[in-house]
Amino acid sequence: MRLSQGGLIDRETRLRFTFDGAEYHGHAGDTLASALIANGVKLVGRSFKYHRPRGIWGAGSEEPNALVELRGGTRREPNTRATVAELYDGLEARSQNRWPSLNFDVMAVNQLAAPILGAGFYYKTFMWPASFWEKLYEPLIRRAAGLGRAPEGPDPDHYERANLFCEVLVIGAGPAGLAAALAAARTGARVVLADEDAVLGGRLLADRQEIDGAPARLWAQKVLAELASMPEVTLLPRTTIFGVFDHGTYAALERVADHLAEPGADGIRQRAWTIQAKRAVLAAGAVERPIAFSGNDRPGVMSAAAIRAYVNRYAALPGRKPVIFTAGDDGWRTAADLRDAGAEIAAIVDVRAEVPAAVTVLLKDVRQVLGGRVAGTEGAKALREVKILDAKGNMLNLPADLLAVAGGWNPTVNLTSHQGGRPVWNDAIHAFTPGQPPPGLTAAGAAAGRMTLAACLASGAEEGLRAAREAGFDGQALTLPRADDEPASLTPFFYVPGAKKAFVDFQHDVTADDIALAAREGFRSVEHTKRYTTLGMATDQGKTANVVGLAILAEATGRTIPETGTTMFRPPYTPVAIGALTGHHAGRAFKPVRRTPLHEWAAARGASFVEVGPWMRAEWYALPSEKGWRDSVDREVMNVRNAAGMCDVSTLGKIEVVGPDAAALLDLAYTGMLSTLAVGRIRYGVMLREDGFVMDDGTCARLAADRFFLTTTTANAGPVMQHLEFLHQVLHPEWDLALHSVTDAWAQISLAGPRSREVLAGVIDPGFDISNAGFPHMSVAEVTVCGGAPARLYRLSFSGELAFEIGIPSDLGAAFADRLMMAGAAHGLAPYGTEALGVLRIEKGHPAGGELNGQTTARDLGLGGMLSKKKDYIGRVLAERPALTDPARQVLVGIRPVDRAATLRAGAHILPIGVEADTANDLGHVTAVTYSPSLGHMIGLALVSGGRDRIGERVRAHDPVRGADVEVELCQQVFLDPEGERPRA
Amino acid sequence: MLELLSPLAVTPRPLPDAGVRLSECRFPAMAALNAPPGGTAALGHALYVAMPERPACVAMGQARILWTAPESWLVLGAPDLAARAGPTGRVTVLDGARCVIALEGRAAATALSRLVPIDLHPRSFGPGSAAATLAAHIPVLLWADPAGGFRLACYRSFARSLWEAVEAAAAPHGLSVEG
Repeated sequence: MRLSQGGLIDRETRLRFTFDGAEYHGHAGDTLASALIANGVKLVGRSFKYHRPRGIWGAGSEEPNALVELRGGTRREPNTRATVAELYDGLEARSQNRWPSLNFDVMAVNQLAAPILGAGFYYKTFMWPASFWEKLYEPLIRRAAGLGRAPEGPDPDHYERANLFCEVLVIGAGPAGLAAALAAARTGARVVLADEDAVLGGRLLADRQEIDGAPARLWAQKVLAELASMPEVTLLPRTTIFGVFDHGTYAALERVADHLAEPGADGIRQRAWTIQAKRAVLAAGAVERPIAFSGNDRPGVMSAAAIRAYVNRYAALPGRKPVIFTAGDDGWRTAADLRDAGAEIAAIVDVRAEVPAAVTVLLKDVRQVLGGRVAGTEGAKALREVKILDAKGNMLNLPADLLAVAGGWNPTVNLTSHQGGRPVWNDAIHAFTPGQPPPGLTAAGAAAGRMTLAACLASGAEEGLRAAREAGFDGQALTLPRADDEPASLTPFFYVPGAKKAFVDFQHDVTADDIALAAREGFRSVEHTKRYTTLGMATDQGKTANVVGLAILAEATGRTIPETGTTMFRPPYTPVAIGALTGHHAGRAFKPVRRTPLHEWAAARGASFVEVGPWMRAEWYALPSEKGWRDSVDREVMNVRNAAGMCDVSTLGKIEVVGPDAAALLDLAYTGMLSTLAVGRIRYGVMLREDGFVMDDGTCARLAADRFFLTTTTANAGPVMQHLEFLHQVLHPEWDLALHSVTDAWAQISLAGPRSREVLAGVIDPGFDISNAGFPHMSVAEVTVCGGAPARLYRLSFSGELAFEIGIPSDLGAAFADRLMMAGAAHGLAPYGTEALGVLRIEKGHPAGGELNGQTTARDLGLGGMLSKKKDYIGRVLAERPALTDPARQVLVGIRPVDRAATLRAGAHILPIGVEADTANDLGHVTAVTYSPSLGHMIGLALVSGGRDRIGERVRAHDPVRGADVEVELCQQVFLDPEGERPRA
Repeated sequence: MLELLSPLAVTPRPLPDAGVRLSECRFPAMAALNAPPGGTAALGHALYVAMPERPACVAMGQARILWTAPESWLVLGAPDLAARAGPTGRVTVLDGARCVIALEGRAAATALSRLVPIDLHPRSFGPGSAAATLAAHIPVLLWADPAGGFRLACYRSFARSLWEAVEAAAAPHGLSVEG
């Protein structure tokens, strides 16, 4: 029921919303929960396991019960707590975990099966037969238990990641947080004040208290106005600090547009902050805990403190005829507020036989049952009657529509556990307080166990100033406003034994009996009890449940609560959408892409692209007449073999090593001797890892006595750079040299084919001799092209044809490629892509990705001749290990199908003919295959045990995955021009 | 001669009173510069510049010198660097190897805070400050330019991906793309 006056809602703004299709109205400033209460809706969901009817328990993010599905379509959002969902016009909400409807839920029969659904029932019931688990038990359990439904399409909204730096982060904007932020901000320190609520003020908004003789929320408004006026203060409402990480890093989620039907113009729904704070003050307050008694989960049984929030902040009265069940003074405040709001208090039941007169006087006209208990409740989908046991043992059955439960307060210590700090039991307040918080974080106010308003203000002001001072700022202590220490005595009380289910963890349907059962079955450790019963393992992490559960376990095992210990909390404090952590990096922005200087040039010529690590590479250039990729690739290959082709090889790693000791470094890194390389010459090189296996191969060109230019494979550019930096910085820091990645400085074009020299002659400036005599194979020179453009010319061949590589500054790459195509038009020049490049290299037997797999040695690859015997190099010693020199090792050979029309497949296993296809007979595998347009049939490379002694042998390429078994002949790995005469032409 | 093509070649989309103004910074030359061990001071003498010895950016006329590692710098916009450094420095040509994006305007720091985990408050990142970090998973050099505004430099091949991430970060604050 909506009260006719009071509250912080905007009564002028009327908002329409639906719940399970029925239309209701609320006001701006409402949450979904407060609007449902104002509309008299009590039943809002069904429980996880037993499908019991549930209502709203709390008024904050700790809510265990009122989980609903919000919005529709691809914005559908399951498992949202109605207590933190701000109402907006047009909000659609639905209950969860019920079928066909909330009022009539078929799965509620689970309650009848409750005797076998107790603690550990998965382990006991579904053990046998094991094969039934996947097909029968798991689908059944998944259908029966569970929460909301995920949306079925991609999220249309945007999420943003952001970084924030400050001296003092204040977590929570209640009285302690406001005082801390003000004290810190007045020193000039950068202060961030974050609170999960849309309105800052915490309990000051929910309680009828006074500061400086005026309503406390006015003080909060004054402080907030001052903070908002300070340029170094950042206020973050609707922001949850959900994790504490190393070195003062805090993760926060800001719900930028969750309170709107759709995000604003910027499209941002939520923002995930990484906050770097020199100091932090945890002023997260406290959460009221329930008491376990029979039927304590019935809709209408609520947190007493939450009821105060509904009455005072939202002007929503959850019941007209309440019973209050309290373990301390705090419940009496709820009773007084309810009475003043017009409710007719049926009774107040205090578990204490003696209650201070200063407290009882508040409600002297009300029926007081001191030393009493609530023994049970009645009602179908809403509370109808409360069963009260008085101090003498008499049972009273009182009609009631609301039962306010005040079990005491648990300081919100969650974040202090995120770095392993275990909370400690505090006998003064009968609750856990922070143990060893993360470095740089201190708790203040109720989170630190300071349970009254005056104490919260004082502790906040003190910790805020201390934090600023520790961060290097200084200022005056805050003049504390005048406030009272309200009565806050309490007796520890957790459980009323009874005949019916008494819930401890509402969200996971864990009962007091489950915990007792776990204890009887030997799960005495609190960590074991947690896992066996799933206590505290739901999406709320047991914010209301844990301490009650521990207390029951302690009693069941005859220990005190400190002896029993406590479980801990981990991030996130409240659930975080993966989208918020993803931020910008969704869809095409999933990961960054590298494009070569010739990317647009190739795209304009019909290239399709393939991802190679981060790079996009042109894979082939289809002509309109070509029907499939093979047509394009075969044409490109034959064009290189017969005329000339050009290929963008800019992605190859390029490193310049500069300095007088550059040659020494390369002698150490490569298996071959580089210091003897003449200026203007190039050598092919292999690098080993320390363990003797091949790391990478490439070329090394000497540009000057103290300057080398290396190439690496595309994939290994980064690792090779790191490896060389390691050799320099760690092994030989005394060497005078520097390493520079120059990959992005050069558009690198391979020009290959028998007519490539004629093509080159059309672009190179006069005066450079590119004849075979003047510029022989494996030469390098600085040249100019196209009328003075600087370039580097390399005579290198990967294709096995006469070939050059031209390095041209990246900004000139596209223009140069155009000029090269013009110059080559008369000679049949055509671009070719990575697929043709792969065919050309397999025809020449060059090892690449499939062979440089980290498990092959130089000898395996036929590169044993490159292992220098005259000098040391990385990997030399371990390359001589027996396992790496075993004659039975799998070494690289060529394969071709005996039936030349047959298809080969990479990955097939090599087996002798006529033996069982099993691992014992396995000789190796096929690493690369292609159709060779030069030869007119398929060819491949394979790693085969003792392969070089088997040349000419017939074996099988057995492919059980794709169901092929092809007879192949082992041959030399070089299929074309084995003498290597063409590139020297 | 051949026509130059910048890594981004952005199309201007000017917006009056934008919170963030983005543009591609073009430099006529780029190079890595090294001093021999102990040679930083001599190199500085040759260039008439106090070479930075920690992450920082200093101006050399229109050119910019960024510290990248001990005795190692990235020099942007000094075509005559080799001649000026003479024997005191070793120059490795990197023309066009980096894409440099300028972010200016009142919300430039806010937009950048969506990308880089660097404290950009003037107290800790005033003009001339520089950092090597990641933006949108891309390795970048970030500096507060001595002449104002921020600059982000990445490997040329990442230019488009970085630009898209910067645009996304800047768009909520009003984005003007300038030529």
